[in-house]
Amino acid sequence: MQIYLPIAEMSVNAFLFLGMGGAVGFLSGMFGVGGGFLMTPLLIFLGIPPAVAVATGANQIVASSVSGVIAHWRQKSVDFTMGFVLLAGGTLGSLVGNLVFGAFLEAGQIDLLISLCYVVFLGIVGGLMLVESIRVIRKSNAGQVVGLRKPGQHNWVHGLPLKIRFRRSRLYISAIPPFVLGFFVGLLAFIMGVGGGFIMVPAMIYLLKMPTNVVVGTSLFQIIFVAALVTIVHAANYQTVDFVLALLLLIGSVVGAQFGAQAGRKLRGEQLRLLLGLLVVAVCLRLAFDLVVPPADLFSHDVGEPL
Amino acid sequence: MTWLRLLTVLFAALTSPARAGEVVPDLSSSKVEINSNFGGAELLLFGSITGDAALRESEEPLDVAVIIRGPQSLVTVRQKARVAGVWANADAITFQHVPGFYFVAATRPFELIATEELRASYELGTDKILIRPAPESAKRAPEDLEAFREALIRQKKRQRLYLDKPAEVLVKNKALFRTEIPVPATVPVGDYQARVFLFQGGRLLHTEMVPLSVDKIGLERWLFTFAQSLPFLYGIAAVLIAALAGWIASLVFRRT
Repeated sequence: MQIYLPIAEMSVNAFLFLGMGGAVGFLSGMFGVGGGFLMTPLLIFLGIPPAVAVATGANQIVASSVSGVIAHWRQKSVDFTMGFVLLAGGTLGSLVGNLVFGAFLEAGQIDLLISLCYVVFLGIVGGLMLVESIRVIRKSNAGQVVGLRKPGQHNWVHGLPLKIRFRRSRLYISAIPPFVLGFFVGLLAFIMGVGGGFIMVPAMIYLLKMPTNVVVGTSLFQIIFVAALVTIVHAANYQTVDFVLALLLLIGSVVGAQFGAQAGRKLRGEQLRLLLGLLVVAVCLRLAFDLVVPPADLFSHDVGEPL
Repeated sequence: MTWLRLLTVLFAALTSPARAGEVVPDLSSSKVEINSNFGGAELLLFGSITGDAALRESEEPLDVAVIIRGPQSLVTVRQKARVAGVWANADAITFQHVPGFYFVAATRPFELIATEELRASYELGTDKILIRPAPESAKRAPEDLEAFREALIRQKKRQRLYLDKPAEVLVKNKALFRTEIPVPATVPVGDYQARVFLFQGGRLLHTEMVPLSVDKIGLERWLFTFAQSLPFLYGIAAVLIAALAGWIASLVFRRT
């Protein structure tokens, strides 16, 4: 069934995008991530203009994050204090992201910026995930007990000024690291159309040393607001949010996420991380390939104002 | 009739051009409506050729050409180059009055039906479309302008927005003509100019226009207008609906 996207001004197969939403939702439910970092590149691979893919992806993330946070809230695994600090940083980061995005759009280099950001961050995060999960699998295969890193251990970032008590995380640390982390994630979220969970979750575990049970819920909380801000600013400034596309994706993804969560329960943590790491690295390599290989047509064109 | 008057009439008939030939065109639909399952459209342009006996009995071939021109806009064409290992946009030229859609069809190849001058002046053929640089790109070298212009036309042809159909106008008994126009899904919204030309022996006898417009309708139109005219509110609405959908999903799939 063909459906016409009013903002992207193109016609797409409705089932293809429902299915894509479902597949990304499935993965996000299984791994506990937002899925935006997969959604946006996949939309671009399927022919959606990058600026529309970024803005519409952010819209869809609001839906899946709200669905996720409610489930976590019921289990009391959201640290709202931490969430608000992250959010404050995220808001500032998104606004700076808007300036960067606008500058690159004016210069005709927005596609390049989006691709480069994805290649760099997917590469780093995917690589780290692969390395870490392979290490854990090897150790447990060798019969060694893998020790859990202990929450509550402090490193130098915790000693910075402006200490706050983060009750649910059982931490008393400086508010500066979460604010800076939130800023960085907000900046990337604006440019890449992601929630930022794939950076925030490892950073929360390894840098902030938050207990794992609070990490996913708290990161989802921050993501909702950042993704909402990103959607609104993209819509207001560039009119690139295609609601019809967003609707197709979000219907698919909220349904897919439920099945993904069920499937995820059947696999061990390090197996899931290995699979996710492989997937992330695969997407990264494909984007890098497109950047480095001579394009089929050296020319491209943008249609501007009526004149 | 006196002998002198007979000679005068004969002289006039032999030396004046065959003016008595006209086309009366029409379109299967004067408005292309883009609704939710728009995937493109097929238009039919048809009509009649009226004229006197001299027109029909003439040895010279009678040709009909059709040009449909979409709304114009500025277009920036960019060229990539290898910069620090990656392919990035390195050069750009902006053109003005670029048609968003251009369909040209005729009964025979364009060079056979009209002179070079007529083809250039009426832009008969996608290679003849006048694409002028915008003021900011006016000082570029002619080779660059030509290369970028050619790239633009090539891409528009690949997108099926510029179409050359040199032998696809059918004429029956020198009295009726028709041609089919495939309109792609990415066609731009706006007012179009559809023009039909009647040629004989390389000369233009008559030309006539038919109105055509393309617009989104219904929900598609409402969403587009909303996004363009009240963008901030549109963003907020999009977020609220997404949040609502997420909340409903969590209720529907609640696990005990």
